[in-house]
Amino acid sequence: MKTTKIMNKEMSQGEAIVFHWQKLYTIGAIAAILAMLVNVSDVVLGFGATEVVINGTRSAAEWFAIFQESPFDGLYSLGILNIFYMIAMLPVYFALLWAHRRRQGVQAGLVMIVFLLATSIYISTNAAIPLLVLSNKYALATTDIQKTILIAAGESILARGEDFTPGSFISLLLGTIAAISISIVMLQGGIFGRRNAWIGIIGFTCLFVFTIVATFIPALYNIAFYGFASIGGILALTWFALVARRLFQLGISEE
Amino acid sequence: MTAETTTFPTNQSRAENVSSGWSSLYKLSGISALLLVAIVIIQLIVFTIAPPPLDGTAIDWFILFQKNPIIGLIHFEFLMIIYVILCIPIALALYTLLRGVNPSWTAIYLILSLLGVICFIAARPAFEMLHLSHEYAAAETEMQKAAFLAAGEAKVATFHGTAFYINYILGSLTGLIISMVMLKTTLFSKATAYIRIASSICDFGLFVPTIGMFIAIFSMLFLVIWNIMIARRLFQLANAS
Repeated sequence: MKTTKIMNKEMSQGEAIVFHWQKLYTIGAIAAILAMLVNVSDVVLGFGATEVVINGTRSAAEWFAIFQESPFDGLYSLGILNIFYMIAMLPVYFALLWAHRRRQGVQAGLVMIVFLLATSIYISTNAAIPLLVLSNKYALATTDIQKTILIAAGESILARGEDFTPGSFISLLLGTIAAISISIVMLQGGIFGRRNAWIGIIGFTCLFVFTIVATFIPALYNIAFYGFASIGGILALTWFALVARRLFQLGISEE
Repeated sequence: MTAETTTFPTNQSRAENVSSGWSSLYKLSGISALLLVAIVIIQLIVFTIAPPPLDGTAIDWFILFQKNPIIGLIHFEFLMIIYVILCIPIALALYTLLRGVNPSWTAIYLILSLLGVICFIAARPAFEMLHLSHEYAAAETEMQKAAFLAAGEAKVATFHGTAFYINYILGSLTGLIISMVMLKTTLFSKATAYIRIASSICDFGLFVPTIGMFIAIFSMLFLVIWNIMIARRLFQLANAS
């Protein structure tokens, strides 16, 4: 009688734990939708641009002018939305790690670490707010030497953190490697559909190629942008939607 | 064991069982929480005695570093780097204590806390600034001085930059997350949770024009109280386990 009571208690504890962990799937699903919406916003805001600007070609003085005209344009162009995207993706990766914990826990855990590393490096080196700070100082500068100093400081910040330049290459590369790797884990795991996994592998590989070309071969930027980034972007959006749907299903099924 | 920990709902009693092998971590975290209080007090005293050139240019900072390197490092928030590192064992202790109550949110809390720590360390290049100030002082030509000033301006921009704001927002967010989890357990008092919530809400005061800084100071005050409460509780749990 006593043993039965203990067993019942232990089972109810186990159920409680599973119930709480299944919330992670729901949180991950909502985060995947948020990440998708951030990417859609990025695309929609990009529609307003009249020309494709090759990253790394604007000087600090030109960036200061952009910030003075519209701080939002400056922040957006220097990747502030990417930060929201990366933070939103953390619960997604965590939910994917939890989903694959039994058979591919080590691989999914490594992917999680790589993505955390990418996010940390990207945020730490991002140029958006430092450039805003410098542009405000630049606007108040009264002498040429002050302005020259601020431009030099701006160039230093841009060299470290402008998107699709060698400075930000490692973080962007690690981010896409993590996305490709988790898609491979999904393919092997069988918890997510094969179509979902392949869309991720192809889509993020396109973005991986775009990152390399945009960073190191600026002459081919337009080809890479229309050829790889657009296809990769659409596939990535589809991947987010499918991942969100499956995570919602997992959340409901374990409930 | 105190009265506060004698009765637990099912999942909370599991949380306590799981935590029984973690007494060293709880002690370390309790000490860390007290050290956080000490750091805030030191920082506050130095801020009051010699206000930092927060809106100043690189040259203002270089002068400060040359005049008194220790004060320069404190104003460039070197102590706060130690502060965020000390937050790691606390986050880990809270994770081990509360994961049984809500594993999903405590895991997210832990990850976001670690991300915040890394961001803050990247946003506080205190020793780089000290080095540049020495180089600036040793520079002989105007051209050399201008080069070091430019490098210094880049560091000041980093100080006020993206990584700092992300750390700040994550700090508030993780505070809210862990407080919400705390509210679902008797492991910590409700007051502890509400104090942290108050601190997180006041954090956002920084974004209010004019009076923002004063609201943010309240956040620090609540955080000091919270750290004392957490330290006390962690020591109790360390002794109990």
